[in-house]
Amino acid sequence: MSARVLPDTAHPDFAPFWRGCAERRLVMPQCGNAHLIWPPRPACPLCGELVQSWADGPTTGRLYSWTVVHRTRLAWYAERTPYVVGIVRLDHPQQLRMVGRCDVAPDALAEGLALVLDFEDAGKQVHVPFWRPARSEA
Amino acid sequence: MKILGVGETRYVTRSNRSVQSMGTEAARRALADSGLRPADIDGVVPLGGYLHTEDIIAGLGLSEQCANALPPPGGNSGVDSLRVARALIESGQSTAVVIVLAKNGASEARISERLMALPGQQFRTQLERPQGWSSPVEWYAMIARRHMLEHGTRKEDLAAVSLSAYRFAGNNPRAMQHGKTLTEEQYFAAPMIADPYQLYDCCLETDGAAAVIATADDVASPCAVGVAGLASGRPLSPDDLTNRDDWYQIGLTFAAPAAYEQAGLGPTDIDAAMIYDCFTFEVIHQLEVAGFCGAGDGGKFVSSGAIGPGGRLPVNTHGGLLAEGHLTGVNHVVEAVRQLRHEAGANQLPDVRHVAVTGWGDWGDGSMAILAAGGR
Repeated sequence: MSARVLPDTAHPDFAPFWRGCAERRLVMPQCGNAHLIWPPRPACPLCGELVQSWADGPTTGRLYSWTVVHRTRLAWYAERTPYVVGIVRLDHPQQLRMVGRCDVAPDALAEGLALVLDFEDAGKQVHVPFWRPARSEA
Repeated sequence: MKILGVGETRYVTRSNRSVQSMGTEAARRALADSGLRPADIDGVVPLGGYLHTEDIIAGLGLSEQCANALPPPGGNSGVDSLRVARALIESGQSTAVVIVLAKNGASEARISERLMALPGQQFRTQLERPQGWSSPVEWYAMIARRHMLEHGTRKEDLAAVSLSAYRFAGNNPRAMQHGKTLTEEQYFAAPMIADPYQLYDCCLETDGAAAVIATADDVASPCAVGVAGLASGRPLSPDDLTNRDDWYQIGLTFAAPAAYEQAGLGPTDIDAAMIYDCFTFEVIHQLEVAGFCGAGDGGKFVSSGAIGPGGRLPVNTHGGLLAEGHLTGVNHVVEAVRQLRHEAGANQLPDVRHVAVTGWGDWGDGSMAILAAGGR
């Protein structure tokens, strides 16, 4: 069994995001003009305003693109191939996109597939987000 | 600026040589090809991040007066090194520049080990590797998949790029895959790496070196090839693939129009193209962005026979990164020069006057050089 490579959740540009994950929330940086910023950057790509606060983002989205990974040098994932990584367009007017592992069967992959964000306890007090089909929520 | 000489080592998987040894051999071959002497070289551009300027100065016995400059180390640097050389020449710091790439890219510094040096590491470590997304084949597969969804691009179109590269490499004694045939059946039977990319959608990893000698325009030489247009650029989110308004926008989106404008040429004036082919779809992507076919039409274009011998735009007549070797695109510049000098052997194209060469690196940095026969 290989250990999973986990992020440094104290990284100053990401710590609020990881604290949010532990509470099963998607917490994203927000600029002075209330634009959400993703991936986290020091300033807003839309208007140039600096990050001023962190805010809850949408936890639903639609599958935009994907790959099914069959070979990887990440040891923990290599024991779990094939697995799906997707680019998910968030249900939000800004249409931000987020990369994430998708707990979706390869033959169920389709453009626009409705997904919800979920979180898994990866140990060491790190909660890693992933996506799963929205309809399995019912 | 003109290109006076090109040279390379053998391209292999296990060189058992140092990068200094291979870089020196390639540079000396390029120098001999150019007709210049070491004393004529007063500028050094090492690229790729493996060689130091001092390795080249020592290997060629250059003067201590050499100017030097380094392009960023990604895959865009094969063509971007020409831009850096031109900057040295146009600023008066150099009159003749040697550009050298040398690497043990198969036996030592494999692509996976270079990734930690790329920009945007905070996104890689915080957001991507924890999700299992960790290598170029997985990153660029996302662009290919989206294009398949949006434009109906097929796996068969990706295969057409690979098969064409292997056909050209079959005629090129320098190619690592020389003497190897690839059939469509073999292409589809190969291991899946990151869907839709299978083994033969991916470039080779190579030990070897390649070098180019560039000089000012006023140097007269019968073997000169002109640099008619040259530009380099980055996408608007140069450290992240996931969030750009135009999913297909890359550095080449900005570089190609600038290169055409400098050259006073357009896509229909180009006789052949050396496209940075890290993966098959990236050839299709760049053919569209460079204006060789319409947006969304790249799959149909490559499957029409256009990129093969006798096609509208023969592409990667050396076999490219897919089948000749991964020399960070310096081998694309070398092949363009040989085509324009009619020294390309069995893959020589008739009536070739302008060849476009593109670069691609990291999260879509891109460049285009338009090389012209006869030093113009």
